[in-house]
Amino acid sequence: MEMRVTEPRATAAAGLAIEVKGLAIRFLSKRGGEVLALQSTTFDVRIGEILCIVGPSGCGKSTALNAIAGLLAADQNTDLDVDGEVRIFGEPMQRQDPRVGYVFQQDTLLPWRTAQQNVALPLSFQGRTDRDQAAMELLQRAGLGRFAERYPKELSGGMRKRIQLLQALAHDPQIILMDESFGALDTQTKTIMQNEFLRVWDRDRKTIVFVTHDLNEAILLGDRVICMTARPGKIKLEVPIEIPRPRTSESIVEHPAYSRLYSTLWSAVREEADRAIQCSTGETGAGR
Amino acid sequence: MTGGVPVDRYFVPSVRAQLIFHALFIPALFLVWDALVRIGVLQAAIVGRPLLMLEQLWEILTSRGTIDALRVTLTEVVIGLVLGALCGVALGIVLSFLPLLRRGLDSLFLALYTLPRVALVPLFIVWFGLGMASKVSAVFIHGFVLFLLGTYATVDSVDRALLRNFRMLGAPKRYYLTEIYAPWAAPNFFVVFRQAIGLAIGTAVVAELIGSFEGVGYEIGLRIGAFDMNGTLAWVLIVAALAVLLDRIASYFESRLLVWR
Repeated sequence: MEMRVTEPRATAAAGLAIEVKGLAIRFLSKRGGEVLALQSTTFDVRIGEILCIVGPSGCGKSTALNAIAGLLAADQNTDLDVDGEVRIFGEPMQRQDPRVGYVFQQDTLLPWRTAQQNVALPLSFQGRTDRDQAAMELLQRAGLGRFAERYPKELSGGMRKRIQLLQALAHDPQIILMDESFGALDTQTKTIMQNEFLRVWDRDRKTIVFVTHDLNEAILLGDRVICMTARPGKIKLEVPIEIPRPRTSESIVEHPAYSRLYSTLWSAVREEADRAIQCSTGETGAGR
Repeated sequence: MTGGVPVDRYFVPSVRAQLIFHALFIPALFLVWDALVRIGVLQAAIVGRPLLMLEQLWEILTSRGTIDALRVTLTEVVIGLVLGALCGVALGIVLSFLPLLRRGLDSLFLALYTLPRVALVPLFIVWFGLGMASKVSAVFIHGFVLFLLGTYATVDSVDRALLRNFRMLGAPKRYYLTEIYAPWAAPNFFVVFRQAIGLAIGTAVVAELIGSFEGVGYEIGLRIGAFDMNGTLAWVLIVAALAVLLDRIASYFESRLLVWR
């Protein structure tokens, strides 16, 4: 049973979906200070794999994800200095690449649109005339058909997050970037969401980059987990997760490799988190 | 029957209780007022007499010129406010995308906002005459400034996550306006609108008082000039009723249009 799941992936994984080469990002404050958020970071994401990125708070994992998404933005207070390159399916990345989707941690549903209209949104952007039926089908397949006419305020946080995921699926990109997408949910809802996410992912095996604080989540979802250092961020450790799929949050904890993987990742993250705390206290002392 | 666990119960009066209160309070106020004048504590020449005022009110409401006066003032308010809202919102949106011009004009609009708009009325009378145009201009400036600053506030406060999500979903430019900015601004639009109505009626009436030959302010001016306190107060009641009516209409549309809240 394990073989049947892993075999077709071996051929698909020949190509690379994302190549990050020597990416370095520096924030320049207009008042003179500068912060190196990311230092020369290189990694690849294979087509059809789930890559999880973990690390202490403020280590630049979200910044790296935003760079891949083309969402880096300078404002009146800070400027950005970016080195290195990102390639999407072998080509240099561009803004608004339709092959790249993003599921944010924040609620991004339009409050003035119903669940169905929210799911249909990316389809109307594409000019699809069958958008309402297509959105309804997605909702029904997820068991949310009877909530189609509800406004977001009438739905629970978990329900809204599921609608948000369906919206991303309706958009149908080949790569989905997820920045702590389940981070704002309570533990039980989060577990249910993770299992459901794995089931959906298993159908078409899109390429996923998943940034998270939660090591259990990283082991459950990821084919590989990258652990980043405290700021300035770089890759400290890469761990392949050899627990066979299909996985569920219940089954992985029973797998013999689970506790070893968890302690490897935890000792790496903890070391960096300690360093981050010491650095930040040292930084304020130096008046930076 | 009473357990040992305390429960806080907050008193919220029922709609019926509120209606009864209104039905009793205002007549009681008028009766006390009337009695004080009769006894001689208050002087009728200065505060009027509520019972005579009600008589006057009836007379005003049944006379033919009243409709004309109300029509004139309402027309000034509606035209001025609608034009002001349209221009204020449109310019607010345009200037939001031109940061240099916006910052440059900030102090001008702030000055216009702080200035009592009726102070401009004599100027408008010189430019546009004693007719409705000078009053419409005063209401227009008033609505324009409120809606312009209101538009700035909503554009600045729009949820960045919604914008970022639209970008990742490949939304064409026009959808940002119709699907994010416009609905985001709608609740605030109603707040500004309801705020503006009361002040717009005030602006129009005061502008008519300053110089005109028709409208509610003109009628009030006539009665003040004749020391007719009861007639003046009757017209003040009509103006107040007008403001409440317009506010109710706006609130009705608000609840019909913003079901998603």
